[in-house]
Amino acid sequence: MNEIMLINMLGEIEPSLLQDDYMEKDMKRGFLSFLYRLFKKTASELEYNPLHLTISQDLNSVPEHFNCTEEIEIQEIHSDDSNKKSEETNTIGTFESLDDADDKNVLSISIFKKNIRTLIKIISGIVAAFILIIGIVIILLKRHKSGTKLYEKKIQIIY
Amino acid sequence: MKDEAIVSLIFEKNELGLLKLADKYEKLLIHIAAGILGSRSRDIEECVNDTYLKLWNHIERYDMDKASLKTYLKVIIRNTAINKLRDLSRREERELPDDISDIAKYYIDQSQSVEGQIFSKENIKQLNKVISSLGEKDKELVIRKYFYLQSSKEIAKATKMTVTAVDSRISRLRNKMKQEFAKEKESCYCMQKGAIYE
Repeated sequence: MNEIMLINMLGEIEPSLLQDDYMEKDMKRGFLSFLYRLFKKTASELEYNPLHLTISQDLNSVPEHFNCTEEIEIQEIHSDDSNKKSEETNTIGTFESLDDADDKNVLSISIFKKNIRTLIKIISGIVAAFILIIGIVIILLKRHKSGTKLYEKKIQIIY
Repeated sequence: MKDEAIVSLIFEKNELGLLKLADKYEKLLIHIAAGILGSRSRDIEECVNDTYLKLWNHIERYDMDKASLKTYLKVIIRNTAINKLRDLSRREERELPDDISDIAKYYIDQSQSVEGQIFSKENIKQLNKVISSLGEKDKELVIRKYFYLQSSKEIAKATKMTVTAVDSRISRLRNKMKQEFAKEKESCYCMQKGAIYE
């Protein structure tokens, strides 16, 4: 029984032996990996966003009749940007390997750590801002309370 | 919509049944066909349409007690995709897709030379027995490799094994199946012989 014969014979296999859900599982996994890649992409875009935004704004603001020198400059900016990106991706190491078709679904530890770090930074920022706002509110309330007390006292003196 | 309702609509030759069928199973069918044919969208689309047509034309052959509609569709799309793959090997220009699995490529290369191989219903029965005797993991490997024509890489990813482990396990399984198949064949032959003598 060679492989070709096996493939041909499996075409007539009993359907009860095929009550599997391997393909459905693969599809689900594919969807999850798509979500993961989307998340990764947005995270990386967020990282590069400041520079990217300025360039795109520059490009939008370029008049229709701009000189060739300006175009070259913009291209240089772009190439610098791409170089920076490539350098950064090289330094990150396994980050770029995630983009490869081969390792689409592999969860790289370094990127995972990086995501966690950014997440922690965001959460700590929110918490700090929250604490600050609460502190300001408390201070304001206290001042307001003492103000009313003084006012009440003044009223008492009048009486 | 439930499968029974879809089947009864198709049985009545109501086109709404096909629409509902497509709504429910098209993604799965595309996924299976793409696994065999690579990313050739035209071939995949043809395959899916052929599957609908086959079901439409031969709905009376469908036995709900034997298998679910999903399984039935899986078998149809798989066989249609394999036929398409065989057609690819016959084409003179041989524009083989780049992204098909190694086993599919091997099938294209070898299918012409072994086209004359015939197998009887007895052989299929024996194979059914052999496959049902396999463990769950082994069965998954065999079905993924030889039914869905997935590459070792894809199987490794899905089963959380290494590619070399998948390859070696499949090779061992093939040998085991070969032996089991030969045993089954022998016992079948002995039984037939005994029946003749009786």
